[in-house]
Amino acid sequence: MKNFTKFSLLAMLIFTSLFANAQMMNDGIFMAKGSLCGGITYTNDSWKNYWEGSLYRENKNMGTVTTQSVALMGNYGISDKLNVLFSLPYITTKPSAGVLHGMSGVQDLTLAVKYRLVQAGNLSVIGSVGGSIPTNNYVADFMPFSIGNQSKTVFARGILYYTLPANLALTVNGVYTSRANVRVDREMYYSDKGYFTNEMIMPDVVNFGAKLGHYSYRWQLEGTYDQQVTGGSIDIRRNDMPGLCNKFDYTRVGFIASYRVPALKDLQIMITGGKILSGRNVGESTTFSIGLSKIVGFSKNKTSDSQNRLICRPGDNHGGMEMKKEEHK
Amino acid sequence: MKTIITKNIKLTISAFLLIAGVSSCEKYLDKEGTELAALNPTNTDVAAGAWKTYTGTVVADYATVITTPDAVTSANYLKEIEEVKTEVGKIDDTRREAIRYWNGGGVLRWNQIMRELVAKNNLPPAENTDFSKSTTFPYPLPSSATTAAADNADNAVGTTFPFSNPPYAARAYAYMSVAQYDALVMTMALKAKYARKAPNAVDASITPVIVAAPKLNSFPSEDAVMAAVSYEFMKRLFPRSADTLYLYKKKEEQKWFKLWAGVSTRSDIEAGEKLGKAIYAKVFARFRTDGMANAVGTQAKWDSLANRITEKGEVAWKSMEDAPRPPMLAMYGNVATWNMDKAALNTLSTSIPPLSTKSAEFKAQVAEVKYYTENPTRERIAIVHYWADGAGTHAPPGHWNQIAEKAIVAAKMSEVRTARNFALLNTAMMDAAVSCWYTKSYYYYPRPSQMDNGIKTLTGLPNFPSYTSGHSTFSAAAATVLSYIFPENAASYQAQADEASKSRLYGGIHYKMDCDGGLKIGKAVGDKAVLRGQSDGAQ
Repeated sequence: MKNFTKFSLLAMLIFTSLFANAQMMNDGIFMAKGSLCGGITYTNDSWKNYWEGSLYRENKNMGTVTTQSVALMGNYGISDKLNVLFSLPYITTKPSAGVLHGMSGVQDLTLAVKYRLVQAGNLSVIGSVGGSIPTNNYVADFMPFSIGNQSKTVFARGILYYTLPANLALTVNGVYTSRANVRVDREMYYSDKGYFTNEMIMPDVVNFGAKLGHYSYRWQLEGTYDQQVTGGSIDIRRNDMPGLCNKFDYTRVGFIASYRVPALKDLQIMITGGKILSGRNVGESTTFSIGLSKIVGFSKNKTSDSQNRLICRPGDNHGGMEMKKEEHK
Repeated sequence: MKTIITKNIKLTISAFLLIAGVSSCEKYLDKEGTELAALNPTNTDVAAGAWKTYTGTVVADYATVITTPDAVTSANYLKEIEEVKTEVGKIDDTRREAIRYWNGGGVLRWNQIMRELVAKNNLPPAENTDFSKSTTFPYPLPSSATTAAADNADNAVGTTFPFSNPPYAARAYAYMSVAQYDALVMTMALKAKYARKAPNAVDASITPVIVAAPKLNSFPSEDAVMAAVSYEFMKRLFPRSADTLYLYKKKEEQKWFKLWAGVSTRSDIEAGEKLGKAIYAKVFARFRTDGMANAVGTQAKWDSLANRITEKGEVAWKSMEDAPRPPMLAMYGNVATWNMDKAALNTLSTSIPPLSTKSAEFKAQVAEVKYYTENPTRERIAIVHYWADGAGTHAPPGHWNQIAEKAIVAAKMSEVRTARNFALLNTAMMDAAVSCWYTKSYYYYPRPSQMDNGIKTLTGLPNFPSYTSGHSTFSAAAATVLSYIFPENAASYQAQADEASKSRLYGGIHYKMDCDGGLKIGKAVGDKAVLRGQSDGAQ
């Protein structure tokens, strides 16, 4: 199981397509047929400064806004090149200053299928489609403290995964998330003009990401880069609170490190970190997460190389987790 | 390899199609909430020229402004008829859109525009970070608090920048409604006096575009009157140049749309504009001298409000913001009232004192607030947010205008009756605001979060004293007036006022006594507006 903590890392950000960039969903690794990876991740994200439109500022009446989450994730291999994935986070938010109330609750259930369309030498071409749905009627229109945006989404993702010598790999992915309009508790708001309805337009979102680093069954250390571009052009107005239909853009860098502990039956411990370098209508957040996960193989067709059969890295023929090429044609 | 390439091409094409398909989905709303069907009043209120005006203005006041128009048989008028025909021939999509928009009702449209601009300008100024500009205040203040009053002669608060907070908004809605009402009453009187028909009634070859053939006389044009009086007032209230340009565009559309539609002539319109400006000047004379100039207050006045309380051994309100912000329009309680005598209003406003902060009853009220904030239910949060009407919205008075709009539209009221009802509603809510702000500054009562910093609120904490609740006062006054106008909806209005009031307790920003006191005083203020309504001739 790999990098799924990125799920909650993103959940920490201000109400973007929270799970569209989820790590499992955007990498080139597949669970092998019959393998199930399940995990739980704690994530802590905080920001003090933010961009009000393009204006970089602090808000002494919120202080540092901290979002914590505990997310459950799973990834099952229907076949070596067809995986299904889910995630479900519990999120809680809190400001360090001022009088405003934080919020908490279970957020959206995300489901996706991931399919390896083409394997050309060391290059995997992967497509994924999925969607998310709010699991309950949590409060959306109370940013930046609401735990999500209540939008039902569908997304389509493309992933290019290229394995290099010495257990190095490069992954590039892009996803388009279509977000349904949402209904909020009030019947009047001002965004680009006055609206006298409880319906809000949710612009669609595009995310791009890349990561590069070492990946082997035992160890992982990768550097990450993410970019989000939200449609529309609605900024937080001067000294206003953010609104759901704002343009939430950011560029973030980070890392992922993990180790499967032999003494704990290969329980994977993963930590991630991330930092937003620049943004628009988002907090300049710093994120850390720690996750535990375990792969269970259900396949009856066990090979002697059982540990390597749990996950599937097509195109990897540089040693380490060598795979038999014919299995992945 | 060939297979791979083929697959890649398929993939690329299908991915492209998928993304193109998704992204080409135009984002739109079911409704923006501003949709209005063509206004077709059940009663034209043809005798409305005799209704009682707020400024006491009568038709004789405009004898030199509006003189007897040319007869419909005159050469001048026939030239105007030709112009109408020419303009009707120039119809295009832009004009059709404008005609459809204004055909929904001028008073309703200006009310929507007003609420939109209130929302747009309802943002507290950010803290001063440029200390070269101000070392006295941590925030820029509307002009009346600054020493430079020169630019400030006309509209004391809001010239430097408008901040359409609830009291500012209450006053804005009230003056706009009063000005439109007085203007339309005069228009109806002049229409009756001159009895000039609409051009399509004079020349049967003119077929009205989109609009129905007018039932009212044509001179002066009620649309041009409304356009002028509304534009002149609103550009005072919202002086930012982008807003003025927006208003100018709206004004020009409303002024001309019935010429484009073939049912008004140039002289109908020009007379209407003159009348609108003249009535604006009359109402504006009251506006500029109603006491708003001093509503912001000064550091010395704010200090003295606090000292009065601490000298009694009680706890005085203080701003919970960082940096502390001066109380919102602390002297607004001295602004002139509409439907009741100011001295009587002051007596009413201080007739129900709050609990001592030292009392056991008070501690129970704090505990109650804390209970609601620590145990929020989804249903209660929905109530808090539905009624919050905070920064960036049309404010509580705007919300009640939105509620009134629904009933007015359903009742298919004439322009002048719509204006009359908005004027009753909005003068009542401004009186409620004045009363409530008088109470707030008089008792200068601390908010729950000041008394217990463990109380975390579910909506923004307003930056002014707690007692009484503004929402409760506004809502009780509004529900009282609307129940008088629409008795069939009375139970619903009362329930909504109660819910609006409770929302402030649920949100953790008011004690129950604030809500109860506000409801009682608001009801009494609303009753005075009802008395006016009962004697204004529009019954």
